[in-house]
Order: sequence, then structure tokens, then C-alpha cells
Amino acid sequence: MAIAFQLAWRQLRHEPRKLLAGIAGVVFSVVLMFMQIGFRDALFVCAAGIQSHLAGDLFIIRRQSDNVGLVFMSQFPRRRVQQALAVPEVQSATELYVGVAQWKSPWTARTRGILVLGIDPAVGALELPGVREHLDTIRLKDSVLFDGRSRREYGPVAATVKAHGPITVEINSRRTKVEGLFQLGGSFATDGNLITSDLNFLRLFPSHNASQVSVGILGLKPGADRRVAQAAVARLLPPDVAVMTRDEFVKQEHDYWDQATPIGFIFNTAMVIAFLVGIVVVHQILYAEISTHLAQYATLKAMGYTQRFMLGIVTGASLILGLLGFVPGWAASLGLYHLTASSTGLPMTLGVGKTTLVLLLTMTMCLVSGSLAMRRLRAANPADMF
Amino acid sequence: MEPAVLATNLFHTYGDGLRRKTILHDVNIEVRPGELTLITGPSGSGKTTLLTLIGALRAVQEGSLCVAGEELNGATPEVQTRVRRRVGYVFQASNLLPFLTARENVMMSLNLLAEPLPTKERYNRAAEALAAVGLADHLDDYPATLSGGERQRVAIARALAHRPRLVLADEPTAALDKQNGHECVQLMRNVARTQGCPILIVTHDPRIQDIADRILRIDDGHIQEST
Repeated sequence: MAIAFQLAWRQLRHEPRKLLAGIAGVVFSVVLMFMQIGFRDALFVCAAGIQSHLAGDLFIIRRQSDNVGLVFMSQFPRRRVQQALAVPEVQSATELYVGVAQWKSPWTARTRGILVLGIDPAVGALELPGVREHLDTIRLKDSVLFDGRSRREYGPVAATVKAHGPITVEINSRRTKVEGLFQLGGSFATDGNLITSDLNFLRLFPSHNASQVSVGILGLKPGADRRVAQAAVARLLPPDVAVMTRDEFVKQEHDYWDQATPIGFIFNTAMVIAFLVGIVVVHQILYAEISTHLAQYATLKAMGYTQRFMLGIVTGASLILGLLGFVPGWAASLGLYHLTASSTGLPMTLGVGKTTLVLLLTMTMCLVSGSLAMRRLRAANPADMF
Repeated sequence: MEPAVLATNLFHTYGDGLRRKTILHDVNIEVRPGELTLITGPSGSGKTTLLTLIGALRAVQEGSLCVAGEELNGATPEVQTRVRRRVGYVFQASNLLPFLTARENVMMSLNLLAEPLPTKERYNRAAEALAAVGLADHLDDYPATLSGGERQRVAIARALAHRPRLVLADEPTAALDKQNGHECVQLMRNVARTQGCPILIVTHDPRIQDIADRILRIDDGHIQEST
């Protein structure tokens, strides 16, 4: 087998331009796969960014027949949250208001949707950098905190606030002051975020019914069993609400984006296409190699080389192409991840998990092309050739 | 000493039904060590079929064919491979691997020995085989830089380097001019003689008939000795 792999390498090396074309094809599909996985992963991390930073142990949302993302969830009566305090394990209960407002940029006068989170400033149920120190600030009438990692389309808000203090903007046509900054980052549902008090939230959304909330956040007593408490709260509350642990709440957001929107499908399709492009390119190269050398391969068979040896050459060539394409593809993806992260604020991380997954996919892709090209080897029959 | 090739009542047909055509009809031949035998005959007379049967490249249909000590009628792929490794093949085209040097091409036949040689030994044996065909100065040349005659001589070195029990050649001179063709056949004979290995050449090149020990003529599937 070592000889077969050696031959495969010599054969590929013999025509550097074809080899480069093959490598370029593999690089292309490797980069495509990395980007798709990266985006998809970032989407999931971002999409559940709020869920991941809520300070609580159990979460109450409106029960719905299908998974729905946080931004699109229906509300439920605020009483339910307070009712949950009747369960002995529950220590604290607070609410989160969620709405999408129109932000009018003071620089361009253009409007853009922005996600607004309303919390009780006495509790401060969001554990994000910048929130705790500004809890008193948002008690002020018409004041909000701005997400410093929002997309830059909102204008140089963070820089201005840092340099010159609070600025006044129009949100839902209401003059509002940005008093401070926190850090969260945009997601696929929203480009930017604001945090304010529950009272200010209701000022920004005058038609919002104050007794309807989006999420109830329950804190448990130290040492309380989360599962037991979850079951107890669920038993106590009417079936119009669902009680979830944080993992379930995060997973529901994942599943929504993955399954209920076309986004999951789009990423999966793009992965499949990247994979197929790789197969086609590598197959072309291998098929052409075999066709060019058909007479020589038939001669090798006449000399007593086995069919297995011939398969070894093709397998070797496909694995070499895969490896030679993967390495630069990985390096290029690393660069693109950085570029994407800095321009979109998406948490694009290229770790061992993704590297291993794409490496396996690349090798599989090359082996599939190889086994398709092997059919061509049947034509290398010395009895028919001479 | 047992013959290198012994064919008894060998028949071979192509196609079925009405289109069935007998290409070899009751062929009986015996090739003894050291002999250079030419097989001639018009196109389609079955010369190449006979050669591919002897080379274990094609399955025997009817009759007995013993090559290099193995019966090929009903031979398994393993037996076929074993026989192929004991035979040296020279084709009309040299069919050298273009991405290997002359020496590496010759080493391809040395990789398959029943008792494997160390790399260094294969390296030296390939050089010796190339020197024997007058290519000692071209060991590291790629086929593309060699002339047609030189390429065919590399192919001959490849067919002989592993000391085969039999050399088969299918129109080895067809692509060469008279002088080169003659030289090539001469080389095959010289090397084979020193190794005591018989050679079977299928040809209708009249220019090389003078160096044969025996000439067999196939006509319409029947074989006969011509003297």
C-alpha cells in the first residue's frame, strides 16, 4: 500500500497545474463548510444570548404549540410569575418585557429596529457586563442602556457615550436618553439591543399591556432541587404557561432557528452543496488522472499488480488532495472567521470540534470522489487493451 | 525440464449464437526454455488472443494451458496474478508511467517478487537491467525525454528485470523503425538467452523473422509450425 500511495503522490506532483486546480477545489469547499458551520454555530450562540444571561434558575413562558424565538413569543399574565412564589423552593420571581422598537439614528435620521428588554431595576435580572452598575440610571424617566456590541448601523453610539456622556435619541418617536452601555451583541433576530426599566419599557410601548410579560424568571433557594421545583411550579400554574430550566430555554431557541425557520435548512443545504462541489472537483481530477493513465494501469495489471493496488493509488490520490486542500482551507477560514467576527460581532470561533468535523467531512468527500472515480478503473483491463 | 508454455487442445470463441466465432481452434503448442518463438498471421487470426491467454490476462475457455507451472483453465484471480508476476510483458507501446524515471519504471516489476528485495537491491537491479539494454546513462530520465526506441528498451528492461520465466511481446516493433526494431528484438534475445528464458513474440513484422528460433503461423484459428 505504501507503494500505491507513493505512486499516487508522484502522479499528482507530475502535473502541478492539475494538482493546484484540485487543491483549489478542495480549499473552496473546505472554506465554504467552515463558514457555514461557523455562521450556524454563531447563530445559535447569539440567538440564545439573552437566555444564557438571565439571572435565574427556572423560566416561565407562554406555552405554545411550536417552538418560537424569544423575540416572537406571545406574552402571558404577569400574575403567573408571582403565583410561582407559592412553591416553597422558589425564592425570587421577576419578569422580563421584550419588544422591538424603532431606533432613529441621530446621525443619519434613518430608523432601524432594535430589541428592547425591560427589567425590574430593583432585581436586575440580566447578568451582562455594564448592567449592574447602571441599574439606578435606568430608573430615571426615559433612559436606556445601549448594547455596545450592536451593529454599527445604529451610529457611533458607544464611542460618543464613552467620550461625551449621555446622548438623546428618538426611540419609537419618543425622546430617550442613552445613559450607559452594556455588552451583549446582535443576533440573527436583532442587530442591536437596549435595556431599560419595566416602567420605561411601558413608556416606549404605550400600547403594551403592563400585566402581560414575556418571561418570568424564578430564583430557587440554595440547595433546592431544580427538577423538583420545576415540576412543582408546573403543577401549580395553569397550563397556559410552560416552566423550563435554562438548558431547555436555550434549546428551544436553538430548535426554533434550526427547525422552524429556513435558516437551519439554508445552512444545511449550503453544507451539502459545499460537500458536493468538493466531490465533483476531486472526482474530475481523479477521473482525468485515471483516463490519462489507463494504458499504464492496464500494463501494471498485466505485470501482476492487483485491483486492490489500483484502488490504493486512487484512494491515496484522493486522501492527498483532501489533506493538501484542508490545511490552506483551514488557514483561510481562520482569517475569515476573524474578519467576520470583527465586522458583524458574531461569535465566530474555530476550535478543535469544528476543525475535526470539517476534516472528517473533507476526507469523506475525497474518498467518495475516489470511489466514484474507481469505476473508471474497470476500463483498465489488459485483455481488452492489447 | 518442464516447458514454459504447454497448450493442449486449446479452443477460444467470441460472441454467442449466430455471431459465435471460433478464434482459436484446437491449438497445441509447447514452448521450451531459451527459445525465441515468433507467432505470425493475418489480423484477426487469434495471435493476440493466444498471447493474452498465455499471459493470464484472459480466462481460458476450453482445453488446457499450463504457463510457468500453473494450469490456467479455471485459475482463480490469485493464480492469475501469480502467473502474471512470473511473466515479462512487452507491448506495442512502452506504456511507461510518465511520472516515474526510467529506473523507477523498471523497479515497478521488482516490487512484485515473491521474495521481496530491499529497496537498495531493487535500485541496483533496475540499474543493471537498464545497463543491459544500453541505457546506463539514462537511469534518471523521465519517459518524455527519451526517444521511442529508448522508451521501448526501458519497457524491455522492465519486462526482464525480475527474471521472468517467460517473456511475452505483442508487436513490440510496430512503433519503431527498422533499425530500432531489430535492436530491440536482438536485446530481448540476448538478455533472455543469458537468463535461459523463452520469448514469445506476436508480430507481423517480416523484418525480425531472421532472428527467431521457431516461427508459428496462425491462420483462421489453426496453428502450424512454419520452417
